[in-house]
Amino acid sequence: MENLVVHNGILKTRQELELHYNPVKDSFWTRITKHKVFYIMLFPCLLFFLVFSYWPMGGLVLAFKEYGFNTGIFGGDWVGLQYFEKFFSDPRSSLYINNTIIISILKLFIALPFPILLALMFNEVQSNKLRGTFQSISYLPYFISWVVVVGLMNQLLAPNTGLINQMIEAFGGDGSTFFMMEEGLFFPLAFISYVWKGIGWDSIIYYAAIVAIAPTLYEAASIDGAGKIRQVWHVTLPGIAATIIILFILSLGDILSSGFDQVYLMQNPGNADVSETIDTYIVRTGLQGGQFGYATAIGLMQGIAGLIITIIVNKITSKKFGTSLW
Amino acid sequence: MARIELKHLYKDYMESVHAVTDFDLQIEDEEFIVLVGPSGCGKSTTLRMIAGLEDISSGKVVIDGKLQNNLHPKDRDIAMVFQNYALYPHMNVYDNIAFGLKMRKTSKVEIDKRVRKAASILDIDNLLERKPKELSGGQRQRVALGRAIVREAKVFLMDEPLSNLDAKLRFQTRAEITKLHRRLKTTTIYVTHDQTEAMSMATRIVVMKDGIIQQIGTPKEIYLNPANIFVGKFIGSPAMNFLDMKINERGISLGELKVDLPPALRHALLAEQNNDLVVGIRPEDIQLLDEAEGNHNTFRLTAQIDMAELMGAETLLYFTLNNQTIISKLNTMDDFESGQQIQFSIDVDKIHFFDKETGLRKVIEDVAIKEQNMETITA
Repeated sequence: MENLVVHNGILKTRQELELHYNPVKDSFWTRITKHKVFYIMLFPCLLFFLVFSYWPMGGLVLAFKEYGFNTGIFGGDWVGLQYFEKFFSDPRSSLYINNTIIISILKLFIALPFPILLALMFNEVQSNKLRGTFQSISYLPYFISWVVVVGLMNQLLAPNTGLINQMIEAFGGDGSTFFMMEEGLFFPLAFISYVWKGIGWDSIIYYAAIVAIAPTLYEAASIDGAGKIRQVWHVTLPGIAATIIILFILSLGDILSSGFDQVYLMQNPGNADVSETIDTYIVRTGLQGGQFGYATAIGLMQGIAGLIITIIVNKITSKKFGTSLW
Repeated sequence: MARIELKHLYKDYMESVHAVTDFDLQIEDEEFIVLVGPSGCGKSTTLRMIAGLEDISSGKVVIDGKLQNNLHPKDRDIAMVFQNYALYPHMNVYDNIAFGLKMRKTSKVEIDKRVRKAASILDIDNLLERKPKELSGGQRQRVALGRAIVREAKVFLMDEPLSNLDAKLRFQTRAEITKLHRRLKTTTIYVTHDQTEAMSMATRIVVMKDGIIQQIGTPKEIYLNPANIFVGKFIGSPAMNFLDMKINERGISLGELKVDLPPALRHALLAEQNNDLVVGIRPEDIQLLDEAEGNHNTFRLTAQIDMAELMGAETLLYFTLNNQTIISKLNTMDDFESGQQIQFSIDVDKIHFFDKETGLRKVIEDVAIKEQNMETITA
């Protein structure tokens, strides 16, 4: 009886109902032509990734080959894992990895709440005009190149003539400190300048996610007895949790890449021990030292580490929070 | 449970948009008030002003003698059910229902007791661990109701809570909300645009249009004595039929259609300055002639059917009278053909008279009928 269903007033089995099932099958090309407009729109993107992402991957073979100006990328002898051994046997490698990870942690974890907080603040501004103005002001630094930003920092923090030192001097202190040369100030300065430059831009996505939260949820929470802070905690943050997780996973791919231009520009003899990262080392040895194979090997290692970490974290967040990249 | 006084409430946006104008209503303890009207009539805005979600431009909201105007929604001792349920998506059903109590720092034991009791009343005990996305529309609606119930608030506010449900579920949940009100006896203000919900649930209905109250009364009062053409049109399905007619020596007329009225009623209408009036007749008051035979106070009408709609046990007949479409609702499943000539009978006592200019119900009708009844008694 369980298998029986009423079909047009007659009891039938499921099998009887399936009797006339004849699936309409489209061939591969029929499906393509059916949605040709979408495939045409997709084509430039595919071409872009093919040319600029997948094709250059062929060059990774250099991590296992000897590069010669006359032999090119593919013509040299195989060297196996020689470059990897060289990197890990270098006593300074651990220092580069260490510095890279410290900067990455500062950027990925410590800086994470700042754009979220800014987006929450934007959400509380009632006047659209005022909010628009604040948002535009906060986005602008994103469009300034690191060369200009570090130049500004040098000006602001210069000994004797810099604004900070002049203020210190005005209050009776010693105004001759060369902050940019201070080893202990490298990480804080790198962190502050990174947050200042990117906070407005990064807040755009979080703000968009906040705006997408149904206003009735806030109204319901308000009637349920939640004040502003509790509304943020119980409605806003859970509402944008998926966005936070996705952006976090995406940024994890760069965990062994601390951002070359900022660090390279802030680097000076005073902070060399803390400012030499894997990225700057690659440029120094690979491009400036002509060791292309060695630099490629380190770059490959960075990419693989980022990929593994991304996969692991993606798996964890998928299980724990039900949100993942794929 | 509470007594609510809404004293001359106004809501204006940017001075030029008057969302609500002079909303004045006293709601007694345990009443189930339904605010009904078309979209944009100000019913939800009124509800939101009572909840504290919308600032009041002018007027007072008083609950149990205490002015609420400057109180935050959380301090008003109200619970609200929203149209889209407003369930917290990241919380399971238990936490959704318990949230209001947690915010009020109720003890865990008490929260658990109340949540399970509400879940049992609403028959959602087996859903407590589920997230809102795993629930059907009807189940979500029950959770939203549960969230309101556990609060044991003085007032329930419901903003079109059934509008997202399908017809069958809407019918079921409507009955459940009515039962719930009888059980809890919480003063309830319910907003809807569905006149059927208003008629079936309310102890009193407030009909609104363009931010202004059109009529306040029990469902029966509003149905039998609509204050104006708008109320007559809005309450009742199908809507009341309206005919532009003229008053003459013998009664009222529309082209060739002439209706003799009882003398008292006729004299009362003739006493009016204006000879034009609008006559309202409910579709169910237009019956087939043979069904209404024997009633002396009826007039006959012959018309050609434009269309017939079988509604199950009832049939709607559409016909045209002087370019005005009229609907008759008959308790029959008989077949009718388009073009068929039918003789209808209309009870004069059930005709509603409205002023053509203002749309207002003619109060003289009641006086006239009383006089007529007096004449009958005397005779």
